[in-house]
Amino acid sequence: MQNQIHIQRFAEENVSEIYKAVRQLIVPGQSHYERLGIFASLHRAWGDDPVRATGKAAASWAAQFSQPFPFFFNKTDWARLLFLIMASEHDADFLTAETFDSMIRRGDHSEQITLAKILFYLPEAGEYRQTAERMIATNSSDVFKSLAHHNPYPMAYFSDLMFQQMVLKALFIDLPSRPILGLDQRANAELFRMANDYVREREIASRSVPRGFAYIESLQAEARA
Amino acid sequence: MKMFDPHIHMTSRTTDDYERLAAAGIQAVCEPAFWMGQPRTHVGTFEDYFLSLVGWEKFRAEQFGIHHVCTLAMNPKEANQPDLAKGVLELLPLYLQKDSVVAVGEIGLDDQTPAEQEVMAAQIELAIKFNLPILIHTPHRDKKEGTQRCLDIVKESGIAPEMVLVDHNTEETVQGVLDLGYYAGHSVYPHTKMEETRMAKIAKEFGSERIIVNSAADWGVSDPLMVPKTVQAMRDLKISEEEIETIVWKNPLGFFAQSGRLDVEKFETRPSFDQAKLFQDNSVLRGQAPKASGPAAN
Repeated sequence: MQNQIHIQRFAEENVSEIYKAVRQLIVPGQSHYERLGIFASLHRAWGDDPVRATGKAAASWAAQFSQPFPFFFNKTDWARLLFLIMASEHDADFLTAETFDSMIRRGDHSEQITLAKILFYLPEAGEYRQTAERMIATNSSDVFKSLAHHNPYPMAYFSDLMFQQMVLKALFIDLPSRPILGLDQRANAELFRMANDYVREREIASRSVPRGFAYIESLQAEARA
Repeated sequence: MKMFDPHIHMTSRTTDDYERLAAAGIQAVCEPAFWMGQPRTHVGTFEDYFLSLVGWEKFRAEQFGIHHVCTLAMNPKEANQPDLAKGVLELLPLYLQKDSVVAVGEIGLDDQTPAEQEVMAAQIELAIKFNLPILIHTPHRDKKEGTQRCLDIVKESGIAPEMVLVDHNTEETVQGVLDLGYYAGHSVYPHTKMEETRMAKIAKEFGSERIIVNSAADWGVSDPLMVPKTVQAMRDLKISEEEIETIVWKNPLGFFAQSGRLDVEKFETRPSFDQAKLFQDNSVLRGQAPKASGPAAN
């Protein structure tokens, strides 16, 4: 829970209006579905404005976390993250792997995107690995991008196979691969083989090389050197 | 003239209907959760239905330039299955919080059993808790008595009268509903007694205040164009344009806006659309050339 304490402290100092409002939403006796409903409603309350961290706030984040500040979190993402952390503090049985899985299944597009983004910062984040790995198969490119780009979760928790599948899917739907955190550390001979095979298939079919391949190729060159 | 069909089950209709609705001036629809024609066997099917109303169906409507909101509830007919009723009542606090849910409904009575009355009362409590209006389905059989029972339950709940829309009215019930301060909805069906000319006579007699018209079009014999057809019938009876606009636009818009989840300004123009867009990789097209439009002039 150390990370979650730091996140709450950061929020209290830097996004205090969200922190205070969310704290008031934690009420004894709430049912499981009421909590999931509150999680959903936070988009209506906070919207899509981004949350920036500059100066003191950026320094405060950097002092606590080795991961870069999540600049892609909007106000809703912060409110939802804080709500889940506070609800878990209040009720240790609330946020389980089963709950997380149910939130993904029952969530609308905005909820799924938030969950993908904030996953790394949730308590017991590793417990949600199976659901997170299944999210790679999402039909929504927005949800996929939220999981694959600038997100420390896959690097920290995904199995080799699922990390590789995520990179391949990014190539397949023509997303850049440089924003995949940890790709330089987790790229290995197997990933290079998969990517090369895929690009070769496309070339044989006279189709363009996916834009994400250039970065993988550069990693491959580095590995050979 | 802009029109809002406040009760139409578009899940049961085709894309042709969406095109016809848009061409006839329908700019917004509200889709109440309802009976699917055969009994559901488990709670999970309600969940998937609710999710499709806030997800795919909303996307589908917007792809034809029509705003889509919905009301969610367990319908009266299925309230008689205790396991289902319990499960759906537990789920509603989650789904009632979704952004495009603007009321609790259709709730009400069908066979007028004690179980239906309990579930109706429980759902009104939820509406009060979430500050949402309610959409009341009045029974088709034993209508006068059944409507009175519905009104008694609503009254006992203490919900504010302006948050109540009582649907499926006729000349026999409308005055009682208006006297209580509720909105009075009228479902206009083709080839029945409640056709557009009869509705126009009701509008002529009772005026436009809190009067609402809908098509209630679904999977049965029904006509999604009943709101525009009623507009024409009202014009034929020399009802003023201002009164007609109040009935088919301002009243439903104002009623559902009480949820705090309907952006009135946004609804004044059609949603811009681009049929090349996808919803979770699904398209409304089957190989056709996508149409696109900016906000349409009214």
